[in-house]
Amino acid sequence: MTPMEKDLAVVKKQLQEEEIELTSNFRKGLNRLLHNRMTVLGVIIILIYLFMAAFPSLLTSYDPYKQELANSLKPPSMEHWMGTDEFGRDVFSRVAHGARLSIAVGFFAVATGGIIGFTIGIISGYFGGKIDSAVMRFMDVLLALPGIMLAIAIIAALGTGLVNVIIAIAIYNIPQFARMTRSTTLSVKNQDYVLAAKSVGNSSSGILWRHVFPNVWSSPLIFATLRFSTAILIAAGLSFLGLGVNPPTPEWGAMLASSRRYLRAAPHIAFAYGITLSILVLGFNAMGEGLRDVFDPRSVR
Amino acid sequence: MLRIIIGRLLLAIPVLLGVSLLVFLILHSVPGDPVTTFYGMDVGPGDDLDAMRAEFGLDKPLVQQYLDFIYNAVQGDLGNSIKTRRPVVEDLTQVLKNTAQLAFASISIAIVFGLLFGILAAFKPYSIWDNITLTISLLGISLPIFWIGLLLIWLFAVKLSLLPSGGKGGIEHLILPAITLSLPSIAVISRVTRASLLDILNEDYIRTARSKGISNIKVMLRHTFPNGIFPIITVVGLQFGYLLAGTVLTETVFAWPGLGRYIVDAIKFRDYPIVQGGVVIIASIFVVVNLIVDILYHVFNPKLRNEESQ
Repeated sequence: MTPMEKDLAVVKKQLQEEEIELTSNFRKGLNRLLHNRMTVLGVIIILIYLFMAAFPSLLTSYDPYKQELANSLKPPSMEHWMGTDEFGRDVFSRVAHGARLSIAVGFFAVATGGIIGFTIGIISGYFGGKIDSAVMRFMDVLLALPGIMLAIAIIAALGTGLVNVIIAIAIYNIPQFARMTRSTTLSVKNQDYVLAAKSVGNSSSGILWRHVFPNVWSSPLIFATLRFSTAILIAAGLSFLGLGVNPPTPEWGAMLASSRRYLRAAPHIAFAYGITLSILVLGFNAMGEGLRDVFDPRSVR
Repeated sequence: MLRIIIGRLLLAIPVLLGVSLLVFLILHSVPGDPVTTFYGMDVGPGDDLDAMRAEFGLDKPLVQQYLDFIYNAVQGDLGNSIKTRRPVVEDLTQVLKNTAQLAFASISIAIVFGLLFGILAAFKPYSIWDNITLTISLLGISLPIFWIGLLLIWLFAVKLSLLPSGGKGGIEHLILPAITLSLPSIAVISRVTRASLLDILNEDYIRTARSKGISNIKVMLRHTFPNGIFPIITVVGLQFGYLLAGTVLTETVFAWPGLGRYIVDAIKFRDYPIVQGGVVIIASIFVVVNLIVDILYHVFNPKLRNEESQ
């Protein structure tokens, strides 16, 4: 073995050890996660909603679109156990079908925005320089539109509708993910194992993929679960404003908006949609909190 | 110190220009031009679309349009509404006043209750107070603001008939929207207050103060709070910005004639000068508030002050 090969072997072993340490940390985290009451509660809530989203027709035989005007604004009964809305449609059926829509919007918006933001963040952070500062200034500009305002501006240009809502919320997520991925990348890129990989002559793209990526992906993934609840809230908010998914599609926010007129005569409609939406968001937040507690050593609780 | 302030000011200008350019490009990326989209096929006999395009400057090249927009905006002119042809600034001043009223009422409620819950929780971590605070803050970030609003209307306007369900009038019209809007901020402020104070309570000088026999309340007020206040100032500033954006939903629920509702209505009428002016105004306020918070942070934080002088 030449000295060069020996050095290489040492570096390789070091890299492997670091990976092993990472997986055992992960296992420890998983263990703590299962003992965290908040997380378990959140996961149970999400599983129930996922079931509802996957098989709405197993839970109710009513068509969410079928109108029965003679039966409108009926309070909860044995037949319609969440009552009926202003067109006599079964509220529970619309709640169940709405779960599919909200979860799908949340998933696609966070996944698209997250992947784009992650890619921008990791590349920008790793290579640095002028492109990095230009990209980050652009992200600052996107972040200067607070909360729902950026999504509203995008909807103003694109128009309403399901796909445009997903696009608007995805764009809203890009700078958030880019920023956090970049800061993690910055701390990883000067670690010994990256410098070692660089010194033995690995290509930039190889290092990025084999050594930086595995050590960067976990925090954005946890962040994604936290963003999920925000995405669902913004989607429902846009629809509530009449800028999101259009009626008669069973969307919780849009249905809450139209239930407003019947708050006196039939408050059960607003309660049904408001409470289902709140519990889903609560579930995601509870799970996210738990994940953050376990994986972020700096969090106080 | 002055150098920091000027530096931050200079940093904020490109962000503001960037925001205006971004909003301008987003709104002008619509296929077809705003006049056609606004009037569609319903062109009256006397209306000439080309003349209207000229009136709104839409016949000029895009770069020229943007430069005109900035040039006029700096002088306090945001163009005219396509629908009413009135200057956007005139309407904006009125609705902005209403939104500011709502936002200030909400942030005041949020500061008082956020600090109160946060301090109570930090006083006795893991106690019943702490758990109540955590529950409130989890609910505050989870419950959709428009659902809280509807719930409060149902309870106080429909069931109890104590307060009006919406519109603008006396102080009683402000109560429900202000409470609704403040809940998410109460959640965030109480949480940051708790975390920040708990951090300080672990410091050596707190132990020293305690060992001298100073009462708990005095330790909290005299030694912990002044040192833990910086993260709280930052979060209050940020919350104020989110509050301005969050008013969109609250204003719609309570039919409050503010900036957010004005923008949303303009989007429905495709009245782009209003949307453009309104969004740029919100972003500018957000940037300026963050700037002020940032500067305050440097002015009042002795740690940073020393770093700069070294």
